[in-house]
Amino acid sequence: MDQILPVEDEDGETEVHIISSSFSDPYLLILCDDSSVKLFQATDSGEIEEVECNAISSAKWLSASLFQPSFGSEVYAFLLTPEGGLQVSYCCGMMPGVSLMNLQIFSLLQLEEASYSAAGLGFLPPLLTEDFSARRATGKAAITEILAAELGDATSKSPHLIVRTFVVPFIFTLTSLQGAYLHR
Amino acid sequence: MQCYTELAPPTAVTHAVNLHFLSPKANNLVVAKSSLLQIFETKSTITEVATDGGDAGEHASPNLDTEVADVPLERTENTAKLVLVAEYPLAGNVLSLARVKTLNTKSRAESLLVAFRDAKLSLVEWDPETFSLNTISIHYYENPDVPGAPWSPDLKDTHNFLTADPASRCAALKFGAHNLAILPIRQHGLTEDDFDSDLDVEQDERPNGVNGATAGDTQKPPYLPSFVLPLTQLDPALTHPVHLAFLHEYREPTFGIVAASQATAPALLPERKDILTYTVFTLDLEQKASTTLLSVSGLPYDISKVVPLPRPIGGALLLGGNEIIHVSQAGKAIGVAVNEFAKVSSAFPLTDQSELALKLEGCSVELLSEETGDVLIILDDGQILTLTFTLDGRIVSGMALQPVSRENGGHILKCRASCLVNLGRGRIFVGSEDADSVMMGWATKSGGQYTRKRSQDEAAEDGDSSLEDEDEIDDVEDDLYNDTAPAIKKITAAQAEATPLGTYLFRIHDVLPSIAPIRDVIVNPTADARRIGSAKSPMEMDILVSSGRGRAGGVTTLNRDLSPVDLAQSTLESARGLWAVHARKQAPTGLVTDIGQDTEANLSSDVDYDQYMVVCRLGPGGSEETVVYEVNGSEVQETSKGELQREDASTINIGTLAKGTRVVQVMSTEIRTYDFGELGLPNGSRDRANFVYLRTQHGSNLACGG
Repeated sequence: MDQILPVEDEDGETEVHIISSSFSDPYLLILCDDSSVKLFQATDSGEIEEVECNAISSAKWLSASLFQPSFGSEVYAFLLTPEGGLQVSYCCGMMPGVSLMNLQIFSLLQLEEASYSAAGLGFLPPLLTEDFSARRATGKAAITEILAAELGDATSKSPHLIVRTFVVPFIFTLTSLQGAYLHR
Repeated sequence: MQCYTELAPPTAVTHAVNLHFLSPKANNLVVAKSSLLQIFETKSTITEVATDGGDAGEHASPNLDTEVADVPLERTENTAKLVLVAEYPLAGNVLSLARVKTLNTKSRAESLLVAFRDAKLSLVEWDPETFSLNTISIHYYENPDVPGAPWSPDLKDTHNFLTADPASRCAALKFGAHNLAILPIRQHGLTEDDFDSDLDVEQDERPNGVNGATAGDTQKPPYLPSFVLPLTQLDPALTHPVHLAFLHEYREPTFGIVAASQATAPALLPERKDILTYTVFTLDLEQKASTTLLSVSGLPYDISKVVPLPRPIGGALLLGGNEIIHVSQAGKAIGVAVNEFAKVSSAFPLTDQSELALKLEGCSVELLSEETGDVLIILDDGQILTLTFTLDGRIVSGMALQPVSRENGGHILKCRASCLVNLGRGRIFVGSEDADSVMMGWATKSGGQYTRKRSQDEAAEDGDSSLEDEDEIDDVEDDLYNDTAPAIKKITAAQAEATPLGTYLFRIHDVLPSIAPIRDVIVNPTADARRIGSAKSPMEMDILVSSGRGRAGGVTTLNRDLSPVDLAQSTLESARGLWAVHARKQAPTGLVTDIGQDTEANLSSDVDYDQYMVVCRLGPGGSEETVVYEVNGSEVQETSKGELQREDASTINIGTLAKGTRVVQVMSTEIRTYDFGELGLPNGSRDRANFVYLRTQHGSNLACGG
């Protein structure tokens, strides 16, 4: 009935604090201050269990957000690596970051591998695609948080990715898992 | 130099066109609001029929053979909504929009031809990869170096407009006093010089894309070089053209033009009576030659527009202020006079319907029904009329104008239309510069029952199936002799007579709000005392504008910010975080635990919902603590119910899992879950009010109801 889930480092030595969490029934994703992420899933009986995933737990992440689009029943996890990329994994998972700041998107059903990975989110280009090469030496924006949500009204909604920097938020509209484009 | 900032984007719709733009099957409406281009999709939703006084009390008993006679019958209907896909501010005012079908577009769909003031054309397509517009080409015809006659008007003073061939063989921009810029569109293997190269290109395209099969295509633009044709080359008498348009159902691009050798003037009626002539020319684009097909002279002085009609009627409608004339493909002209002045100002033979006493100035005309060929006319004051034809075989033998009555929706429009677009499937978009633009739906009433124009399958595939008139245009190209005898026989048998009065019903589906035309502006301080004032600007100003014209006139307020109205306020000191808990009782043991998916069970009356608010704040001892409040209506009361960790608990987030039956409290060092029952109250408040919680900088919380 009542569960207490402690959050500890793998070694159990240092105390780890939770910074943020994201809910998407039945998943819960938490981000700890050592840049690690844990994924929990609620079972039918109401118990919360941790979901093991090496791809996610071994990497460092800056921000995480769960998202369930209204057109599908899969839940996606949007994860941001500290250097600035965005990885979208199907699973709530995050993909291990590569050197660039990556956005990675995981599908929760396929946690081992990112469904989508876009480098260079930090540059905030007008069109975000998977193969991004930094052409100009434009400054990277310091991204602090990402949030994936559906925006719209009763007639039509579409998924958006909101990226928060120190100055002003940027909103990307997701057209498909192949690319996203920026809307300000 | 002009320094300004735009406070509100343009809202008056000046032009609109319907085409497959985003993909070959998409049904898109492209709307131009002076310098703003918007692309819409239509989406079908289900709404309830608004019951008016006459229909109240309609029960299910006549239809159902039960004793339950008190169940009120609720009818649902399909309502179309416009969904904005993209919008682009353009660097110039749009003069006309036209739809052209070009080869090898990136989206494999049609392209849009935009004419700008004063004489510029831009051909654009949709790029699905970058999700944006892509300009294919720009054509420029304003040549200041060419010396014209010193008395000839400037380009900006002449009536310039664009017209495109319905079969997309070419487009023509009329500019200047009597110049026509013709842009031929490349067709699929039609022209002789390109025939072989087109073949090669096609062969490369299909097998593989290894050697960049589309390289040959991309080098060839989708149009052929354009040329300017002075209309006087076609006929020296065409010095004062009034209007022209390309006609349907011809093998070669053919246009009808209303012109005269002198300018028409109402003041000179005794001298210049009936000088206008309607001539139909066929263009041979390769030879750059033309042939006159037919000519009708003696038209009344006020004929101002040529509207081409597709099958089954064909030919063109000539619109004037006092009469409407139809000229068929064979050259037979019949007309109807709608007021007493037609007979006075013209000797052209017209059927008399002058008892209608209509003013056709400023009217808009569009094809209503493709089957019967009926035409929709919207007058200057927004009144809706239908024009119906009597066919004798393939020949139009008569026409009649029928006003649509108020019960049938004849007065749902408030002002005149600037553009009318038939979107197919019983929907028409009415764009207006003086009132809100609406999307209207029409249905035919037959035998006392409402018959749907569309079948139920069509409603499901909204936006997926192609337009019916697309098939017609394709048939024109493929059919060698335009032999559509079987279809025409069917039509003549069924529709030989004019459509009876009161057949059509009109209803508004969706509205694009507009504040145009703005005649006066004042700045007004905020009057509502309930507004949450901010410390920065104690005197907030709104802008009041007078908008609309005629029956659509009104006053509109433009606010700078969203202004929520404070309904209730309670102070919770030093609060750091605030969450609303909305948990549901788990199903009793023994029942199937699929309560999340079962929407009926969710709506049933014994599903309890609780409203709790959890606040994390700085406690008296300096450490953070969590407090639970119960929400009853607009009252917030601290409660000690529930076993949430309170003391020394820094809550990061609260949410629900397991389909809403478990409340999870995420704290900085651990995560706790609670069953709903443990929160205490078995019977929570059943009211599902919607609240918006705001947290201000000093930590007090405000609840605003919605």
